[in-house]
Amino acid sequence: MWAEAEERFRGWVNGATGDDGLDGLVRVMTPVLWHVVRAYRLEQDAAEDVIQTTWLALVRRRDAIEDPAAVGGWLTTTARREAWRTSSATRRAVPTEDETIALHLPRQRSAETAALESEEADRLWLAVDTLPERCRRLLRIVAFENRPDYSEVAATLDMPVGSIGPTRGRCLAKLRVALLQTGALS
Amino acid sequence: MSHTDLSREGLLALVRRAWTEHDPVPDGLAERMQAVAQGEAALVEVDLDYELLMLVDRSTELAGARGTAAYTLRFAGADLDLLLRAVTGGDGAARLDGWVAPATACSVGVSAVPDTGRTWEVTSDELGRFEVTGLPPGMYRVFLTPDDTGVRPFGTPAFEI
Repeated sequence: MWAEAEERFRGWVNGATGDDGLDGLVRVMTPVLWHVVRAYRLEQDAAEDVIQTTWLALVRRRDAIEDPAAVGGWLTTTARREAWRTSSATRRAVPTEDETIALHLPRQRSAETAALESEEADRLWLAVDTLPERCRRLLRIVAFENRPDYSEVAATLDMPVGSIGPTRGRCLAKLRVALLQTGALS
Repeated sequence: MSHTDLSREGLLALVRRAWTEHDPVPDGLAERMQAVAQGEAALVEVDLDYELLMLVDRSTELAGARGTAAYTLRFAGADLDLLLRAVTGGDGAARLDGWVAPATACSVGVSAVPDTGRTWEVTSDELGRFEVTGLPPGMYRVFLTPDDTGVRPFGTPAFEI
């Protein structure tokens, strides 16, 4: 995915249009930005605004990105900073617990397959959901980003700089236990 | 199976899967962002130098009567604020009221995103107020060019009506 983003960024700079250029870059990276931004507990509207701000910033400052390989990291870092700014500036942030738990299954499955997969997805979600909130947020960011700068992530999650590495390790250990307990691994 | 089978990468892949299923990307988000990015790229191409205002507040009122809804957006720039109030009537068309503070006389352009070629042009009075009516539901951006040519034009990100 990061390579796809890099390739499309190069394409865009060199005048490619459509999916080989800017459209493709937006298509590839918008889902990543969504998950990173939602880790800051922003409502959907606010999350979309942050993602839009990120894309506008990229288009306006394209020349500032000298190394096309850095475009993915530039986007996630910009989105994370903006999400943090927005979540601390407004009181609109809501805990994710309040949101509806919905399962989104691809269409056109046999009922049996769907039931099995749904159960598996339920167990997986249950395992993730039992984690302490700081673990859920940290792991979501780490899972969707490509080697983020830990000191920056620490600042935006109100964690001490230097604690992120050990915290991540503890969170992953908790997740392993939770996966075994919910039977998600059987 | 021992839990040591689960590598860090394997666990992070499960985390991605869980969130992708539990909190999926909203329908049409990528397409909306493509339209926004393309529109901005077109502005960069014609070298339009403007200050991008930031959305700092959004509030919704339930106006109540006959299915009307209203919401207010406040945008901020380095030296001025823009307040927009959108009211959607029963017929689906919206009216947009704007206030520029400090009061600035401007040409105001409202353009649809993605660019349909359709724009609405009005001017703000000396109190910084303007109104645009008959906007169909959709995404829009507002651009303002102060009559005082010493002041840079400014514009909003896209917002939905």
